[in-house]
Amino acid sequence: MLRYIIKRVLSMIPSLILTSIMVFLMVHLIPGDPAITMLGDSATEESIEQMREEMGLNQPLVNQYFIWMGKVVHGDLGDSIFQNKSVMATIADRAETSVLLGVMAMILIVLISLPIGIIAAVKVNTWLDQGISSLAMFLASVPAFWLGLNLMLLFSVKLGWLPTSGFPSVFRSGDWSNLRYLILPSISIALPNTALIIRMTRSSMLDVIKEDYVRTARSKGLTENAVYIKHVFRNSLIAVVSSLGFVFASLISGTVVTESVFSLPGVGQLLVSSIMLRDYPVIQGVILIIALVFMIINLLVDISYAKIDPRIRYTSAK
Amino acid sequence: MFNLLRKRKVAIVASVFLIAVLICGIFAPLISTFDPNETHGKDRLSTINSTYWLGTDNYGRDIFSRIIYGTRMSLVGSLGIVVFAVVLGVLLGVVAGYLRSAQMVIMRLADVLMAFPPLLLAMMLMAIMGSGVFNVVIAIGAYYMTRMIRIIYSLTLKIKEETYIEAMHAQGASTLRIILRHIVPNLVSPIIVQATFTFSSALLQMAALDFLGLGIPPQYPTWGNMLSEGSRFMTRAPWMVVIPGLVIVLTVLSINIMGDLLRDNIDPKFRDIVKGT
Amino acid sequence: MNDALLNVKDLTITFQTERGELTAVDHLSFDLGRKETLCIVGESGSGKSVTALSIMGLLPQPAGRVTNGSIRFQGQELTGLTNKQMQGIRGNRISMIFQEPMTSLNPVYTVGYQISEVLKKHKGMNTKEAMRYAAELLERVGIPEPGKRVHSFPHELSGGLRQRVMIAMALSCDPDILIADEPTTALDVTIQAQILRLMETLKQDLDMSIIFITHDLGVVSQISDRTIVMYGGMKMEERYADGFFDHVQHPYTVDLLGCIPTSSLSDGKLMPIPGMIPSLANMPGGCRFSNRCRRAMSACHETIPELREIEPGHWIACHLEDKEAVL
Repeated sequence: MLRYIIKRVLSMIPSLILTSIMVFLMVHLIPGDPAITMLGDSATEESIEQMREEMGLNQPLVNQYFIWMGKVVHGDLGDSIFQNKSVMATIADRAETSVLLGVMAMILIVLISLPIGIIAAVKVNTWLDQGISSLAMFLASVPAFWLGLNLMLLFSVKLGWLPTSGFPSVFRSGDWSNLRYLILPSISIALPNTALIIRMTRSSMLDVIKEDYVRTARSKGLTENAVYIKHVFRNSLIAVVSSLGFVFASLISGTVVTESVFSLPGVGQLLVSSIMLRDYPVIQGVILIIALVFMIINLLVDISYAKIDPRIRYTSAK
Repeated sequence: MFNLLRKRKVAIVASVFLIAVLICGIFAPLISTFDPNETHGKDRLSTINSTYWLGTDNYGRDIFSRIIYGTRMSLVGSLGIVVFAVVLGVLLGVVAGYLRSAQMVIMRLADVLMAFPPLLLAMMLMAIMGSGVFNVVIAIGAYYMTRMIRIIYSLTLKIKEETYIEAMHAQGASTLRIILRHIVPNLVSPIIVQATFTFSSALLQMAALDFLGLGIPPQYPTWGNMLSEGSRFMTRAPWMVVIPGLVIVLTVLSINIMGDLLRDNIDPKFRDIVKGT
Repeated sequence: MNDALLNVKDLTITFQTERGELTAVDHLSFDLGRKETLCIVGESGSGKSVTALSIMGLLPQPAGRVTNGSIRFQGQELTGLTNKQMQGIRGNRISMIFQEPMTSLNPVYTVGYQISEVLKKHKGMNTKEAMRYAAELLERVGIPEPGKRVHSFPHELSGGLRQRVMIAMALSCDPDILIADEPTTALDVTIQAQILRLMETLKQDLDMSIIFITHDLGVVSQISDRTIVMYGGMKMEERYADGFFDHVQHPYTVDLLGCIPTSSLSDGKLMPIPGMIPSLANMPGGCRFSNRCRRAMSACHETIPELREIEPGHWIACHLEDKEAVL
């Protein structure tokens, strides 16, 4: 297992390097002087000259990359043009909201879709199964932000049960009840994403049920519940986990838009406003961080995949 | 059997809806009741009534007419993304599957693009390229192109292994000829299925980008732009949000229903590859 | 024969399919005595595996159903039992091993865990006891380093070892009957012989009866006490005695023997059976084998032949006159 993890981590390196090159090139692909791009239009001649020096703009591109990369690995992503803060600090301020929102949404996705997927598989070809399939298809067609707007209209505006927008920090105030600000946002991210997992759970359970080892499990005299939970569900998780990468991608996208809908002070909203303000150091930083988080999530998905399916560990450790 | 018939029935409803949407797009000037950009200062934010069938927005523009015109940009945009993704995806995918030298470069590039969640990739590209309709197509299309490359690549590898293709190589047929005459025709049905899902998914992505204000410039009426404006007046004029969203949901749902039906009828040996994405 | 361990009488099994109801097993009767090895021989589609599954109460649901007849195990009727009652018998009093050792074990659990499940269920052992006993069982079926192997995953074992694991699992509760559905078909010939020898030894040690389902007549000659030949869901021939192969009477069995290549049993000429096995949906009227039989008479196409005893302990279902030289 350890060998598998090491191998998998090492395999991330080329992607990491290529991703960083792409983010680095961003500023250079934008028409105009990269130093002005990094400092904004209102920069003084003096500071632009200083920035040129810092970025090494008179040196070859390769050297510039290494100068930039050297700073990045030390956690220096530059300074925001519009906020009097370093990019790192700006992102750190916003991280709490996005992380909590993502985690809550993921928990909801798992809690909703696994049981429903199992029920659909156990009751295959009944009206219940067809109802679930139709519902999943409908949910997959709903944009997360539109769902969010509707939930807000209903539960916050009409019924007044939950706050409409904003999110006072949980950690700074120590008040966990502030999580109620994230209930509607996390539901609107989660629901459209349940569709894929529901369908994956159902179809992989139905595939596994046909397997010989399920017949073996029955021939041992195990109860139906034990057969379904220990043998069918456990094995169908392999396929479900392999689709989690897609769900996380869509979760991150969902977080970005939903933060806008509910005016949550998260990383996603930071990215949107930075793009509008052309605050390129922040854009670069946010994209790099999100790409890194996404890669780490995919790494964790792969590791748990190997944990669930011993054959993976075996074949790739060789 | 029962299931398929049921699916077919739903698919008929879906296709009728899609044809209606298409007609609305093509004949927008004939169907719409107002100029979509014409403002009626006295009738701002009016509800659904006999003059304004679906109400008006904050400038007093007729929402029904804007929805009808919005069909154009929404469909053309998604179609552009599909064409971009299919043309480049198939080209690069087949080349990667056939030329060992190109495989490394293309698949590595695909890996990098896949390292970003789709919306994030689109936002990054928009930040580089700046706003504009064509840029939106490229920014969103880049992700779907990558998916298409991966699918076509693995399908090409699979078809390449088939005995008759190997036999043709043995007979000395040229690679280009084999690709055009034997590989590509085999790819048509998986491409159609994938393109269908790309279409619906691109429609959603485009709406999300529009909603964030990073998509199609706001002067064009698109469903996403209407939602974006509507969200600011939501409490006073909920229809500004509900109606364009409903149109998006129904369109995406209908396309997905068609895609499902197409996928059920695809060659089983390709189904896993198409399904796995 | 009333002291038999298992009495199967007039067993009829049907499957509900898109093309209507198909009869997979038609009025099949047989007995299994204590410490007896019964071989059920037939081609695929003959109903032999379905028969085995019905004894276990594992017919594919909801399509398969026992529509007629009885299965009595030590005097207890099995066909009417609830699934819960059957769970007490499966893996405990009657257990089963399957054709594909590669796919019959769950890939995500260690073999020790999979054996311990049976012990926990039927013997009430805790996990620790069960794992220790699982290692003992592995040793009993001749797996080297059993203490290490209990922690192996199925993919780390060869096909032969996996089948030994299956046997260990099946025998963990000292069952009265072991049903083996083509247990050696998927294995190499040398491994086949080892597994057969193992089963023979264990049968002697554990005083159990075996129902051995196979299409391999070579295997039958090595282990069988009683042999049943099935075709199209019906019993064609049965012999309760040694020397089955020297006394075969039914034209189908004769043809089946003719199909064995390079076997000491055939005279060197390969004689394929003409035609194809008809699907269950279009079985001929009369004798099921009538449309492929070299010696079919008009009566064969009209009435189903009764099973009759042609010599003590030997029955055939055929219209041909008995004692007639067939070859």
